[in-house]
Parts: sequence; structure tokens; C-alpha cells
Amino acid sequence: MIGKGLKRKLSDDDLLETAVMQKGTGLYLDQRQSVLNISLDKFHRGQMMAEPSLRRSVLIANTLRQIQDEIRQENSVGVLAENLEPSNNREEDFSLSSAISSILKELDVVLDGSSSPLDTLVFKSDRSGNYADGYKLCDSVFGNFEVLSSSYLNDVPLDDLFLDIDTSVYERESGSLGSVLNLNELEHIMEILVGS
Amino acid sequence: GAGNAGVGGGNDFQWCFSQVKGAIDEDVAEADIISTVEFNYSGDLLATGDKGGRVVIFQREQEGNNRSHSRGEYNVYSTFQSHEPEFDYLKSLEIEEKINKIRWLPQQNAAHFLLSTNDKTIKLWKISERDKRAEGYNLKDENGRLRDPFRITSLRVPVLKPMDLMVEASPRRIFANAHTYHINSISVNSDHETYLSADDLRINLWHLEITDRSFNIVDIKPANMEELTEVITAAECHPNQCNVFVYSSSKGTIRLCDMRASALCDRHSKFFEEPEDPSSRSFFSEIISSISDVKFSHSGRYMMTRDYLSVKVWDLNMESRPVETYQVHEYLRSKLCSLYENDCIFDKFECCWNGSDNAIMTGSYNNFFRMFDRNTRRDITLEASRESSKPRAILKPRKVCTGGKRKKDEISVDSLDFNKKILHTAWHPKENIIAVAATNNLYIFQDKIN
Repeated sequence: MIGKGLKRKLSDDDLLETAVMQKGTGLYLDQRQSVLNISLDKFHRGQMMAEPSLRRSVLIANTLRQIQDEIRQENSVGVLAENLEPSNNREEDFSLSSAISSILKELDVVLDGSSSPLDTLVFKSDRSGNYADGYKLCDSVFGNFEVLSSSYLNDVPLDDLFLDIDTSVYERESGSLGSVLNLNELEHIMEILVGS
Repeated sequence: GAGNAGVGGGNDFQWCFSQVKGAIDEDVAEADIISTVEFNYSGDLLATGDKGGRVVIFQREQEGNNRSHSRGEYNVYSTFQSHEPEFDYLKSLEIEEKINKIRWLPQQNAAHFLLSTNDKTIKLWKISERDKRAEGYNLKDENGRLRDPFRITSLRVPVLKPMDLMVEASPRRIFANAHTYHINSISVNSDHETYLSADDLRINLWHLEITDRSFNIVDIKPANMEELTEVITAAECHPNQCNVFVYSSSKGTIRLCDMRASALCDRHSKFFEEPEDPSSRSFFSEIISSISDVKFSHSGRYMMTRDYLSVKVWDLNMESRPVETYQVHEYLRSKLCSLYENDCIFDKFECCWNGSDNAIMTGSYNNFFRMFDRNTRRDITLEASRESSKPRAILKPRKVCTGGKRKKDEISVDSLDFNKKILHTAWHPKENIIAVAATNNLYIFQDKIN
């Protein structure tokens, strides 16, 4: 596909471009959020492509996972509560995290009807402090792979997988996260964990 | 001087334009986009594959023709449709006819053989010349129609008469149904009997004569696809040790495997990875570390890997880090977010060695390509463009301005055309002739005739 050439004027976006940023700064959080949004969008689009590239999907999913791990770590350690960020950043992080988890949970439920929504949100850590086990956030990303790349093997119609995804969660209007199930419960749990 | 001297062939060396193949139109048909370029072992043949599934083979004219100024030009030798688009009804997926890779077999007789592959199927093609035909058959008349047996009253011996040269390509083997995922590499083994094919998760070993089965030698598919974090990006057989091959991953690692060790080479013999520089860590660190190409040196002592921003040369005896690292376009490091957004960060650039392994080449954006001399440590950026396409015109070095004041003849990073990507390049195995694919055009450059 031949697209248009890339020519950009210097803009606020360029300020977000700096590859290496001080963690915890507002600029860093802005870039992280930007990358998160872009990644979610790309992942979603990638799966809908006529010929999904497994390599591209894996790389995007790993980027998503890296960011989500960071957010989760910050939530659990209370880093955000300690720094001087304005409170609306925290809420946006929470709502993004909720958004990711609910989207992926929806996917997971569609793919594997046996998972129970609330169970998957329990933050259990294993010995090394990782939250991977109890939280099916990233697992369900790759469950998605299994179905889609083995729409090489199964005859799951691609369309059906996306019926339940509420893409309104991508919008950043504060407070309107669409009709995602159990959203209030998600937020409640997030608040408990951060101790706010 | 201001010439492009010194890279690849000594101090007096300069690259000149030789030829360009392909249409000049601004409007490029997607099917015409070149997707692979490969010289054969002698360098006399140059094959290209495109997104439309076609293979075009160019042959070098014999030197000593009347036109002494044309030092062995490449002209079309054969064109054929290698792969057609397919639809997999079971999985509701289109299978692209795009030729991902072409690899030549060493020549054993008058005919030439090559392997070409799309995402799913590998084909062995035989390209042969016919310059004679038989005349005077007994059972057929001159038009090929069968003669009435009753009319034949005498026998004659057919004679061979010369005819215009015809080059025919015929598919001799079709290696199908062995790859669930997309094939990214094929590589002919030094035993000349087997070859490997690699997709995102598996590598198979084939015998050239046998199409109904292949051996799976690497399988990195996790039992639970939810655990997938890494894919195979490229694989190659060692040039002279027929039991050794390497494969690279999306996490920037290379594994060297020995097929004598076990039937399934899931355990590597060597593991090459450069430790990450913590000061340059970003959200895109993993993506830019993903290796897009791996190539052994002709000697077999080294291998070269290409990731998004650099080319690295590894000594096979040292797994801990590369022996040489060359920056291809470091000025893109501060643009990674945009390049992620527009998907350019996923572009898979290839790289290649020259015949004597003292120079390496790889492509970049804006139709730029880069060459690095391993001995002198000099590097050069050249451009494949119609503007510098005058016969035997010396190529002018190009420079990207990274900040501050742009000098004359420099181009700023923001003016680069990211749609003009040089992903595929090839270097003649013996001489200083290079082939550079720029979208639908194939440029051939040669050293200056002194």
C-alpha cells in the first residue's frame, strides 16, 4: 500500500518523540499514554487485516504488556500517589487500564466462555512479585492470537470476535467509558488497591 | 575529493550508475513492487521477484561485445509467473502471491535452478535454454500434426536445426502444505541436496527431490498461544558446514543450531544477544531490536544481522556481543513514535556482504542505501534515483542533516520520504556490481571504469 509521504511540522507531538525520558515525569506519562492508545488501535486494526502479521501483532502486544506492567506496578506501589501529578492523570491511567482490561476480557470471554469476569481481576502475585498469574490481562491478548492465527486452523469467523468489543472505551472523554460490563467494579477495585 | 571513494574496493573506488529496470511512471502498480533480489553463484544471472508473483531473471551480457563501453549489461533473460494468488477456503484467508524470497541453486548442468517462495509454498524452477529444434520427424509433419501412418513410405532421421534462443522456465517441484504461518526465509544447504524454510514459528528441512514430506527442525510455538512473545524472523544455512544453521528472532537474538545434535533443534548450540543499553531504553526498544535479516559471510566465520537502526557483525565464536556495529540511520531514533504510528518501524530491511566480506550494504528510506567498509571503517550513503541515472554517472554521496542549519545538498530528517524504502539489495558475488530495488525499479550500479 503506497501511502502519503511523512512530513510533519514541529509540534507538541515532537516533544513526545524523545526516545528516552525520565520515568515518572508528566512528559513520560503523556508519551506512555500516547503509545498505549496507538498500540491498542494498532493491535485492534492488525487483527482485522486481511493477512494479520504475527510478528507485528506480537511486537505490539509486547509493547502493550510492557506499559500495562508499568501501570500495574505503579498502582500497587502507590508511586502515583506520591508524586505531584494532578489527580486527573491518575484517573486517566486507571480508566485506560480498565479499558484495556475490559476490552481484553471481552475478547477472552468471547473466545473462551468459561472465564469468570471478576475472578480474573484478583491481583495475585507470584513469588517474584509479578502479577501475571491471577490477572488474565495479557493472557487474553494471546488467546486472541490462538484463535485468529488459528483461524488458520479453526473456522471462527473473524467478524464474530469483534461484535462484543465496545470501542467507545478508546475515547478519552472523562467519565464516559461506554457500556462496558462491570466498569464500576473495576474502578472500585483500582481505588482500593491504590488506597485513594 | 568529493567522490564516493573508498568504500568497498579501495581508495580509488567509486560507484557509478549502470542501468535501471522498470517503469518510470509515478503511479506504481502494487504488483510491480519488487520484493526480492538475488544474484546467482556466478553473478551472471540476477533474479527479482515481485508482489504480483512474477520472477524476472536478467543475464549479464558477455564482455568482449562490439560495444566495449558496456561492461556486461544485464538484460532480461526470462520472465515467468511463479506464484498465483490463492484463497484458503478453510481458514477464510487470502494467500498472497508476493515472492518473499528467491534462492539460486549451484549450477550443475546447462540448466539453472532456483527456489522461489511466497507465504506458504516453495517452488523449484528450472530455467533452460533451447536453441535447436528437430526437423524431419517421421510421424509428424512440419506443423506438428500427426501424419497418417498409411502415408509413410520411407524413414528418415530427424536433424537438429538451430532456432532463435528460447528460455523456458518450468516448475519442477512444489513444496506445499508445510507451513501454517508465513514463510520468511529459505536457504539452500551447502550439501546442495537439502534446504530449509522458516516461518514465524517453525523451520523445516527439505530434500530437494522430495515434496511430500519435510522435517521440522525448529518449533517455537508455545503450547498455549497466549504465551507467545517471540517469533522467528529469518534463518540461513551456514555456507560450508551443512549441519549448521542460524535463526533470528523478533527479540533481537540469534540462535545457532547444529543438526547433528538432535532431530529437533529447539536447543541451540549458541545464543547471540547483545545486552541492552539501559540508557537508551524506550517503549520501542524491543521493536527496534527485532532482527529483520541474518546473513553469513562468504567465509562462514561471521554473520551479519540487521535490526531497525543498525547492522551488526558477529563473530561466530563470540556470543556475548557483536564485533562491529554500524548505524544505518541513527537520526530516526528520535522519531520512533511517529514511525511506530505509521508502521514504518515494522519495515524489514535486508543486508548483504560483498564477495570478499570486507564491505556490507543495507537500505534505508528516501531511496537511500548505505555501505560500510569493514577495514577502513568508512561509510557512505547513496541514492537510487532517476535524477542520478545518467550512464556511468558517478553517484554523489548523500547526507541527512540532523539538526540546526542544513547545509547545501543535505536533506533534513523531516523531508525524508518514508514511502521510498530500499528493503532489498544484492551484491555480485565476485565483482563490484550491486543491485538495489527501489519500489518497482531495479537499479544496477558498478564501479567506475578506470
